[in-house]
Amino acid sequence: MPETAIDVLGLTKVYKDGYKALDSVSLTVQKGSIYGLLGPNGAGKTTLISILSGLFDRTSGQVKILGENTEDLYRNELQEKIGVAPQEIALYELLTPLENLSYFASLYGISGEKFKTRSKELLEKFGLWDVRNKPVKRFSGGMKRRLNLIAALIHKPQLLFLDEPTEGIDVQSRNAILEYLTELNEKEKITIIYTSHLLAEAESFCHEILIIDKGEKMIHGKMGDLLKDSGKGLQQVFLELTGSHYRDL
Amino acid sequence: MKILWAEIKKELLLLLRDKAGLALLFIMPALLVVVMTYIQDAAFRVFSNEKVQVIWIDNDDTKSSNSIKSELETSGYFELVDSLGDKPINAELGKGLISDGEYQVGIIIPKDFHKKFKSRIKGRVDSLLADFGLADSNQMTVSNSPITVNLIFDPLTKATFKTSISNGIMGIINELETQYSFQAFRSKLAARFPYNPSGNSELKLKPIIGFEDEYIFKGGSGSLPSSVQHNVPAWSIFAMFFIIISFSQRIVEERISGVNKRLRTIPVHTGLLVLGKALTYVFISEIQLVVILALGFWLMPILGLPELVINGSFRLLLLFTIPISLASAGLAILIGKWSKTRDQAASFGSIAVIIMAALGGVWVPVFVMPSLLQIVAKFSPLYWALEGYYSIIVRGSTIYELLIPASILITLFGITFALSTLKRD
Repeated sequence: MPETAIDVLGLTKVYKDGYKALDSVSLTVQKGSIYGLLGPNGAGKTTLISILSGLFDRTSGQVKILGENTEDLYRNELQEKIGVAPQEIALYELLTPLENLSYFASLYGISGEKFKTRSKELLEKFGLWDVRNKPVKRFSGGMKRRLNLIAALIHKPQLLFLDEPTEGIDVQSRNAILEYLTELNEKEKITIIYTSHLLAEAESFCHEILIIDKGEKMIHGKMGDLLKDSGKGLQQVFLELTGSHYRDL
Repeated sequence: MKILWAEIKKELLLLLRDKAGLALLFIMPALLVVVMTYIQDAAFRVFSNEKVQVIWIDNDDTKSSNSIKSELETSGYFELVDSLGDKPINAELGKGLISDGEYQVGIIIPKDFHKKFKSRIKGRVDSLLADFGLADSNQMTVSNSPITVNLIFDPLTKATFKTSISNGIMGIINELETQYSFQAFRSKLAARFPYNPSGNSELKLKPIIGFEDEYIFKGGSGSLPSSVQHNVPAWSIFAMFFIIISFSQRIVEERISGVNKRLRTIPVHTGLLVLGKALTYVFISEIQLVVILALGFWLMPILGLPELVINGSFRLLLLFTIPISLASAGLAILIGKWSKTRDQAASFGSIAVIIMAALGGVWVPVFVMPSLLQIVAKFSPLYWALEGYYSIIVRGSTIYELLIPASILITLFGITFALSTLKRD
């Protein structure tokens, strides 16, 4: 039986203003899989990924990450094993890629030769080595997205949380990101939790998906099985489950 | 330690890349200290070695009025102006010059001043002698109402300046009045009793009680505070607290950009990162102080301003800057944590700094404030910062005398630091 990377049971999140973002959601993510969290705007994707990555507290329910129970506080040992690329470009725009990476790496205790080797490997892989000493503020959206992802990978995490990692970027950058993530997943067996509104991308990228809406789980399973069972494409399945009306939250 | 260094290095890099921020941290305070010192130096000189120009309008031009004029001129405090070029200044012209703000003060001696003055003196002496049965047979009743000498002021003249000028002029006039009274009294007595003059027939009265001013410095010696010694510490502190604006904005920026989100997924304690930021700003504040002190030592004398003199220890000044900058950094972090936007942080930060500076005595010394404000002033960290700097620069205090202001500033940092780490984004 494959090991699980994430076990969630009856997870509920109610914000201070009373808004219920997640309502008793349960899911299991196998180690080494690419897991897509899909849903319309306001479905609860970012809340779910934020709780799983330790950014938000949960109201109730149980969450196990890499076999360890996460109580209210995320523990340091667990944080060393996870990497998070937020939806925002979480970088210092006045600093260069190398300076950004050096700062985040040093917070993980990575420095010296180890940092040089790792940063060079990642920057080269994502085509940013030549601009490593230029301030990030001069970068295009695609370059910033790639660097945002590199910052989450600098410490070689076992579990990677990506909140809309290909949002608003060109085809080339998107392709580079997805290719690298697939390679990473296949070679290093890194588990990837990914959210996106791009269903075609998710269909080709994810092994498993969870579609949620209004904080509730709509469907959960292996991508191939879901599509085979329904005999439809992912977009059609998605619209049938979540409806075709606007979600202007 | 490595994490602390990483945070400091990152903050310094961000500062170096932010040209506008650097200008705000160094150029603005440097300009401020030079401009404010220039402005305040003029006021300092008015009360110290500069003579005050006084318009002199003499409608009597007699022995009595000329005596007053002579006494005012020889006092060393006043320069009497009675003409513009060849044109004598009359009441109309004098009032015009003052209302235009060209002069701040004038004296108008009324017509028949001498006559009335002599008459009042005679009346006073006769009245006194009558009490002893020595009244003149031809004694006349003389009015007791005072003779009015008009002192005219520019409405923009500060009350303290007006009072000190009025007191100075009235002191000289009173002295003359006493002198004339004694002379009249002696003349009357000489007419009735045997008179053996001591040779001083003009009888120049000298004060019986004299005052000697002495400034007491720690260690026995020191120099008097000049405009530079007031402005350099005051505006250095203002600059250190002005950091709140850029610092709090940077904290908001970290949150808005998502960097905070990333940092919270990294196994590092928030307190350590906050401490790293605070230490960076301690370093920046030390540089600010050195830059402003350098202006005081070298630039200000070139500009014709007094040279900065530090009566205490320079190293102590650097040491006391640590609690000041920590208090400033603590407030910046707190404002940054609680502000939702950069604009909110900037507005709140700047208003807070200006209020704290005003209360703390940066613009106006605390001792001239109303009693209630003097109590409120003690809640401003700038008050304690200024107290400490003045103690070192003017009074030459030692480290033990700085323990109270330093403890208060460090306590403030402790409170703001704790509140900042408690706030979750």
